[in-house]
Formats: sequence, structure tokens, C-alpha cells
Amino acid sequence: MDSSVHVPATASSARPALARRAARHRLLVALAVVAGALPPLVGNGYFYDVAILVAFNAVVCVGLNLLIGYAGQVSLGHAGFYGLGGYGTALLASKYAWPSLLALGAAAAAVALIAFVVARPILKLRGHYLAMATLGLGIIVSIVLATEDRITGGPDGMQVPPLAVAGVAVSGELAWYAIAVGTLLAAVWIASNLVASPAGRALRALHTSEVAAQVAGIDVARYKLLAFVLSAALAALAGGLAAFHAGFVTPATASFLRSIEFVTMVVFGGMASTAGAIVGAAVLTLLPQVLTALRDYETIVFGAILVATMIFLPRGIVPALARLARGTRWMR
Amino acid sequence: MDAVTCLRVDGVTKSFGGVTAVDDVTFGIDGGVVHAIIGPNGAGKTTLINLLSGVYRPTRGRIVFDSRELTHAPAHAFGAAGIARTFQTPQVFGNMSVVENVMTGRHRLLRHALWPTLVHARSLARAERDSRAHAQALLRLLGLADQAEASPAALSFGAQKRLEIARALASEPALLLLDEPAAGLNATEAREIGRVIRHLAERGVGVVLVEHDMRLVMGVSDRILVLQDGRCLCEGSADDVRNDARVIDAYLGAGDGHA
Repeated sequence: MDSSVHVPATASSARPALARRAARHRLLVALAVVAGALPPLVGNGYFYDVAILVAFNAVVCVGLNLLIGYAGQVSLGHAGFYGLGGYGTALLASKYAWPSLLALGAAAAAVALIAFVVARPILKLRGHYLAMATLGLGIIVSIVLATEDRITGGPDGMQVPPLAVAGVAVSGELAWYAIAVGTLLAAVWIASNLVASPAGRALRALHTSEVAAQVAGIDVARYKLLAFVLSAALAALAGGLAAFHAGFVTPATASFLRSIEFVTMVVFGGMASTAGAIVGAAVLTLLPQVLTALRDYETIVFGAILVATMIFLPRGIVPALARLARGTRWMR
Repeated sequence: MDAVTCLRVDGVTKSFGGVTAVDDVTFGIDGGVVHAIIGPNGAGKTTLINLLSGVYRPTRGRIVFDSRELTHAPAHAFGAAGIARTFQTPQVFGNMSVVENVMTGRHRLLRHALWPTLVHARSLARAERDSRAHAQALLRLLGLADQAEASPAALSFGAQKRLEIARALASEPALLLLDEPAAGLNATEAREIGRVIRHLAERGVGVVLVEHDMRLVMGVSDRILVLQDGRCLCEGSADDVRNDARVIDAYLGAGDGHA
């Protein structure tokens, strides 16, 4: 076409398929390398406790980022799914004595089903209304968990038997570390695949312009639903594993403040960036450990971080740093 | 593609509260035909495009495409059926590259089974490669090949409009709705848009062109529908409409000098 049309020269040559594939797996490889290198360097008991916690939170954030970062739909209730996953796993494994992995999988599937059912009316809402509805959903879950004490043990929570794989109880921090990191790697792999697929483009498209996405033949409601259910299932999976790891669950796991923490992690790390979700989870899980003096003010600190991020780094820390590193070149 | 009637609009009316934006409009669009819709501002042209693309549902009347009833269908069903469109103000997806924008336009032709998506199955990877190659070819057609990996935000207004056309074409539509594709473009760019429109019509695509640039309209259109106050003032071949006394009176002659 007309070559005289002025277009800023930001173009780079088309990347070959191999390079794109490498880019898709770069994060996975980097994560595996870091996770493998850390234990020999700082492998004390405290490290493992924190690292396992980071990994579980990161699994939630990788899923939540699909919903918030890519599809642009805010949820203030994902701790509800995390808590339901924990309680579901605990109930099936203790009261019904199901094998650990079956209990975990069934709980995550049940939470996915719950998310599927509630998503239909909820995802019709937009913006503040969607945020309020998910907020209400999370609060309802946490109230039910706290008050249905015959099933859930009430505010004291309930015991969870140890995780057993093929009849062998998992013990030792290294084994748990491997499970947590392995789950995170799997979540990252799935999220990266989704983002690089037609479905991932559909999510990003409806984030920018629902009407343009629709006329391109994208069933907007269907893709919002996909992101919502997938993120809920990942939260439930992390919640179930965390319940096994801790040996007990309490309604606090499903609290509103936990939901806010997850959102803060995603926003701080960088929306629409899987690496950002992990960095956000890591930094904001470590922060309270480092700043033990601020223990009583944790909620205020999280709120301040959320506000400061929105004002100074609206794209989040990882995209902002990556942009600095690459100059002004476009990046995903 | 055969030159069969692909879209029938039958007595379509759209009211917003007390205002009737489109009033009892009936016409048909065939494959391979460029059908312009002209009329003064506020005549209901964009509302009509929104009805034809499913963005609005008609208050009354029917819309049938390729013998499929689409009157009450959601917008994505229009897209999936093969009706593509562009917007007066470009609605490009700013959170993905230019080539990915075009690939998104191909959505209806791609497979979306959940499992292959989550594990990035080999079949999906191959389809993605084909889809990218197809998108690159469209970018070449629209003169955007060099910007394939750029952010659409880095494109000029005119280039964003061309990107929208490339995205619409990626779905290999039977019907393409263009809402003022030449608005904001210079004369050279407008001529290029005209060339692309004719190229599409020769390949059997039905094109609905809403446009104020009369030189473009008269240059490429086979048929013209004139809207005034939401009503169809007249409809016919480009020559008939050009010489219609009512049209000259209502629009062309008394207009703002575009003609």
C-alpha cells in the first residue's frame, strides 16, 4: 500500500516461530532454575516455610491474573475459592477418608463447578458492580465456613490429615517444596499456553473493547467464564495443598483480607504478566516476614502498596522494569 | 463465492426511547456488491451498521443472513456467521501486537477446544502458525507488514483504520461493514481504501460502505442507499441515485460541498 503514510518506526522484524516458542517457555525455565538453585544456597527450615507459602500464593495469582490482568475482570472474592478448596479437601480427606490426591482433585473440581454456576449471573456485571458481587461472594463463603460449625468446625477450623501420595505420607520440607514448586510450574505452563492461544487473545481483546471482540465473533461471556472458572480452580487447588501443608484450615483462609492480598499481589506484580503475578506473590508474601514489626499494620501496608502501585506503577512492577530494560519497545 | 443475496434487511426499525433512529428500512446486499449507505449526519447510518453487526437489536423487523435468522442473535453470532465490520473510531486491541490484532479477527475460523489450548497441542501450534502467516499476508495487503510486531498505539490514525480492515478481513467474511473508513484519512489513503474495497468485491465479498467522502462512494459503489431521518429516501444503482431529484435536493446538492 501507500508507503508514504507516516508510521513511527517501532517495528521489529517478525520473530520466527522458534523464538516465540522460546519466549513462551522462558519464564518456565527461569522459574525452574531459580527454584532449583535456591535450596542449596539458603536451604534452612525458615526458607522452605516461606518459599512454600510463596508458591501457593503464586499459583492463586497466576490464575487470578488471567481474570484480572488479561480479561480485565476484577474479583475481590478469590480467597473464597481458596478457602473452599482448603475446606473441601480437608472434609473429603478427613471425614470421608478419601485418598489425598482424589480429595484435592475433587475439591478443586467442585469449586470449579461452583464458580461456573455463580459466574453466569455475576459476570454480566461490569466494573464496580462485578467487584461488589465477587466481594459479597467471598464474604458469604467466609461467613458460612465460620458459622457452619458442625461441618467446618467453626471459627477454630478443622484438622487435615497429612498428604499421602500412593499411600506414602509426604513429609519433609524438601518434598513439600518440590510439590509446591511443581504445582506452580504446572500453573505457569497452563497459563502461558492459554495466553498464547486464540482463547488468550480473546481474553485480551474483550479487555480492551468488548464490542470489537464481539463483532470478531468472540463470545465474550464464554471467555470471561473460562477465565473465572480456571482462576477459581487454581485458587482451590492452592487452597487444598496449603491445607494439607498446614495440617489445618481456618475460616481466615477465605477472609476478605486474603482476597485483597491476592489482588494486591497481581496488581503490584503487573497485570497481564504471569512473571509479574509470581513476583507480586513473592514480594508481598515476604514483606510481612521481613517487616515483623509492622505485623499489626499489615492490612494498612497492603492497602498503601495497592494505592501506591496504582498511582506510580499502574502497569505493575514487572512490566515497568521490563519496559525500562527494553527501552520503549512493545512487550507483552 | 456466488453473487447470491447474502443479507436481507426487512422492515428494520430501531428506537431509543422516543427517538426512532432507523425507521422501517428494507434492502438486500449481495456478495460481490459494494453497497454504500449515505445520508446527512444523524440520518441513522451508524445505527444501521450497528444493527447489521448485531451490536444493537432491532425494535422491529428482521435480519436474515445467508438464510439464517439473526434478528435476535447476539453480536458474536453475527461475527461468527461471517459478518465483519470496522468502527468509525478505530477500536484496536491496545494490549497486543498489530499482527495479534489481525489474528484475533480470525477467531471464528480457529478451533477453541479447551484441552488443546491448555496443553498447547501440536494441532493448535500448527493452526497458530497458519493464522499468523495469513495475518501477515493481510498486513501486506493493507501496507502494514513492517509494523506487524509493533503496538497498535504506535500507529497513525490512518494506519489504525487500515489495521481494523485487516482484522475484519482475517475472518474471511462474506459481508464487510465499513463505517466511514476514509474519515480522517488523506486523499492518497482514501484512494487506497477504495482500491482495497474493489479488490474485495471482485473476490465476492459483499461490502456495506458508510461514508461521507462522495468521491470514494461514487468511485467504488455499485448500489447506494440514501438515509434521511432514519428512513430510506431512495435505493438503487449509483447512477440512478446520483440523478435522483430527491437526493440532490436533500443531500448532494444542498450538502456541504463533498459532492
